[in-house]
Amino acid sequence: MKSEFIRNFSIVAHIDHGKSTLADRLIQNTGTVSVRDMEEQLLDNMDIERERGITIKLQTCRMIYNFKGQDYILNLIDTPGHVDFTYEVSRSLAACEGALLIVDATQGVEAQTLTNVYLALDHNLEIVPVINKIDLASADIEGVKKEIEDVIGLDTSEAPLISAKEGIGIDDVFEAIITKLPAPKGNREAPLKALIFDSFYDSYKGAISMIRVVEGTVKVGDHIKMYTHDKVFEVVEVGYFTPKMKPATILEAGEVGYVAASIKNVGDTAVGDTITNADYPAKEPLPGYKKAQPMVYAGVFPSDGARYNDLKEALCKLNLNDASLSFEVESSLALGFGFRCGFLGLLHMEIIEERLEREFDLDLVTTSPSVSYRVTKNNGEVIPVDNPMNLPDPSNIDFIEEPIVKASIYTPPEYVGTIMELCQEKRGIYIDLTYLDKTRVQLIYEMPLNEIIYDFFDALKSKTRGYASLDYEIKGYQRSDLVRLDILINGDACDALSLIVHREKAYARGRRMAEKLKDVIPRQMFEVPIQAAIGGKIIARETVKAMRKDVLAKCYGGDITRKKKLLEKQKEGKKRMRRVGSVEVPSEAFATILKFDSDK
Amino acid sequence: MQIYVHIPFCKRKCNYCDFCSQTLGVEREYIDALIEEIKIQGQKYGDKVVDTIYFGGGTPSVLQEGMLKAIVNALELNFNLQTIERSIEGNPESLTINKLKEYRACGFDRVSMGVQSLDDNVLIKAGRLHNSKTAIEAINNAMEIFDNVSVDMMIGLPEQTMQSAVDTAQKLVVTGIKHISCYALILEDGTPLSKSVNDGVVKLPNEDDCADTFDEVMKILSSAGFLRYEVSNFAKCGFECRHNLGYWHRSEYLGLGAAAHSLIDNTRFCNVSNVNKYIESINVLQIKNNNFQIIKNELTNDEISFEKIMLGLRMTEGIPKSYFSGFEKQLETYSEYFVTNSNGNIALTKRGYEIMNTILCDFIKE
Repeated sequence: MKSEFIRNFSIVAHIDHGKSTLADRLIQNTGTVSVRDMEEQLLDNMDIERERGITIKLQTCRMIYNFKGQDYILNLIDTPGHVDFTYEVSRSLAACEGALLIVDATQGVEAQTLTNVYLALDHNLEIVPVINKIDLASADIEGVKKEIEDVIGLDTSEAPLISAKEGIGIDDVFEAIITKLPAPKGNREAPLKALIFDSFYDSYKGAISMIRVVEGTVKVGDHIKMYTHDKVFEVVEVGYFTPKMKPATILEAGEVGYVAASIKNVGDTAVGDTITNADYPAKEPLPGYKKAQPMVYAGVFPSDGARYNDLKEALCKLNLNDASLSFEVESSLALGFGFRCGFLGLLHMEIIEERLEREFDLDLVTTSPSVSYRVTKNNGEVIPVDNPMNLPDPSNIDFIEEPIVKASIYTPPEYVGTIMELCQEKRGIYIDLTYLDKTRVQLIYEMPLNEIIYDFFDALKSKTRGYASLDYEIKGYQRSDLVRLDILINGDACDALSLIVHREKAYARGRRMAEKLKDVIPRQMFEVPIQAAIGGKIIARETVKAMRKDVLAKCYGGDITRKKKLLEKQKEGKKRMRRVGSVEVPSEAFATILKFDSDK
Repeated sequence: MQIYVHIPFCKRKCNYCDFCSQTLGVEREYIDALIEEIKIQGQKYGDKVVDTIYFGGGTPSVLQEGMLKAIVNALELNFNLQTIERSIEGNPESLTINKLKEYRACGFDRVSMGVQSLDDNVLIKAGRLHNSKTAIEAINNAMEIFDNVSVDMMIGLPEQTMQSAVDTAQKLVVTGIKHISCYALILEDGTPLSKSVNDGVVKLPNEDDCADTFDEVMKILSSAGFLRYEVSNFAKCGFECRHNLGYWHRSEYLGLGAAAHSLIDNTRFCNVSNVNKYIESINVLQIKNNNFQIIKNELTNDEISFEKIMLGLRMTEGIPKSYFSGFEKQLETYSEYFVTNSNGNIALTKRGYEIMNTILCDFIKE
């Protein structure tokens, strides 16, 4: 099909504004998926995505829509809607010419609405605003239109007014896609240039690249190669997503689809790379993307030390279609062997943990999340530190810098005071306050990322009853008075519990951890002191009293078997214990304390 | 050999109890079955000399007059009884003078009474049927007829304070009884009490409260001349319960009745625990042999050496050092919790008893 009858687009929105519902509706109305096979949120095909109602991995779907007697190919490239996944959004956007911006008629412009609009503008995309949920009683169509015009500067006079849920106004959306979004340009006679915007592994076909063909064509039997290395592969299958994979004979300039070329190693089809024809190569690659930088780091350990290799395998597999996950071997005295993982953000971390536990049946202990600090040593050497255990001795440190973000918070005005207080408490520096309209305020703060990943988001949500939304971008590094907080159990430092914190926060945090540990560490044969320390200085102390519970251990005279079983069970439990010095601590205790510490 | 006879009936089941016991109803059928079992087992073990007999429950004192006699007669007929001790349990509310006399007439020489507490509030909360007054009366009655009277008391009961337990102990030691068992309440899954605790309706004293209370109770008992000879048992010199000591010494014993356990020839076995099933299976025994026994376990050498330690260490007299052969490492690890007695035996210290299970775990072989 001629490229003038193709439209490649994304849908961008703040979380919960109805992106996935609209995607479902578009797919359904074009008959791409029969009503019988329709499941809610078709493109969210991970269990976690459906359950949480969020999109994590991008998906694509090709639809055919007849407009005024002409069939059009509409390629929808879905995007994640959470702040952690900005990187994935930009991957999708690079494969499109336009984007639908969904705004909830009852909520208006939210933090990620703006982020995503800016991302789309960065990619020179045409943006069509769509106002959703107009069927709800609290919809304020005119107010939201005005807000879009004032805050974003988009013309809303022809914005489709829809209810994706009720199927109202869907044809207007199709018309807008066809009439307002540009068709792809690109010469099909030129040498092949195709952008890999995602890849995943299929056990039968090998690594599969999801591509946008920018110039030229690709078909079965072609020899292709990537720009970053010189390996040549023979194409065994091309096709597109409906959203299931459907083979085709050829993919041409302007089209979106997939290529399978018996590639064994997913690393050979790196996202952002350009595919070209080995026999007729293009002179230069497409711009590609810069690699996503992990923002949050944490140690991930199997509860059962024997499952280290399972965890390793699982991480490798997840890494195949989540290139933003990074990991390297870490060993902890308390938790044994595991991995130091880098995540895009807290949600990303949670999702990975959940996928590891669910898809790979692993029980995990995850240490407190940390950011990457920049440490300048006395000798002038600058080293990144994302693991508290790697922090050099304070006497060797000249200064430490921590990442600072610019946080944008959108909120109804009545919560401004509460939020300012919260930001202050989290070492935030006030930058700006703007009334977007009578009901919405934008607050800008500069804040250490370290505070955001601790409990800021949860605190914000609970203090504003869920009304405030947050977005942030990394601004840079700033010098800060940071210290390592160590936890000593019976005098032995427990590496898995160490944290890097601001000196002023260290006391409260140390006290709280000691208190909590006292509750989760089972009583031992001897009294166990739990201390929080900075350097050599003890700042908090609690005591786990010595066990006495067998004081009158009952044994029913003749029934010895019962007692033996009880002891055997206790022995089994003992085997699963982790050791910190001479103290036995169950893995679950670590999990509890670490979880508690991060989400209050 | 020792014989244990289980009487699985109570007027009312206490709300913390998960023993095999039920309210009255099928005693007659049960006793018929029990006597049948006595005949069957007598054919097998009738030649062994029986030195102690223990009737436990449930509440043996709820049986109607005559029933007990029938059981004891059956034992006399089918086993080689040369007893030095015959114990029977009972509860204060059913231990009437007549009942006590009947016990005596059946040849029992030791009565063990489930008093648990002499604090009326605690007794009500535990779901006991007697009060402190009936308990003291029953103890006095028993003292008239028996020389050897034992009383059970408990710690860790709902709403039981240290003072309440101390009062109970003080009142008990002056009654003239010779033996006191002091048990800590263990919350067993599936009991009404466990539900109340989980629902937050009832709060139990915690680990430290129990241990402190026990320390205080022990002081009272020891100054009154009751010596701790086992984890939970205290006796005036010479009044240790021989039957119970037999368990810890791994003497052979035959359990008769529903849910009764036995140890013979280093094999442990036990009868079905459901009373009706027990009655039923004894009745069809002619057709299918021994189906009233459900668990049969021939002990391995490792299990035997572990049992010798696990059971033997319950006694303050301790066990010979030779029992620890192959366990030298554990003995070393926990050396601070062991003491060598004047007789050369190794025993647990008072502190050792407080963490006994934790120590014992390490003696289980892989």
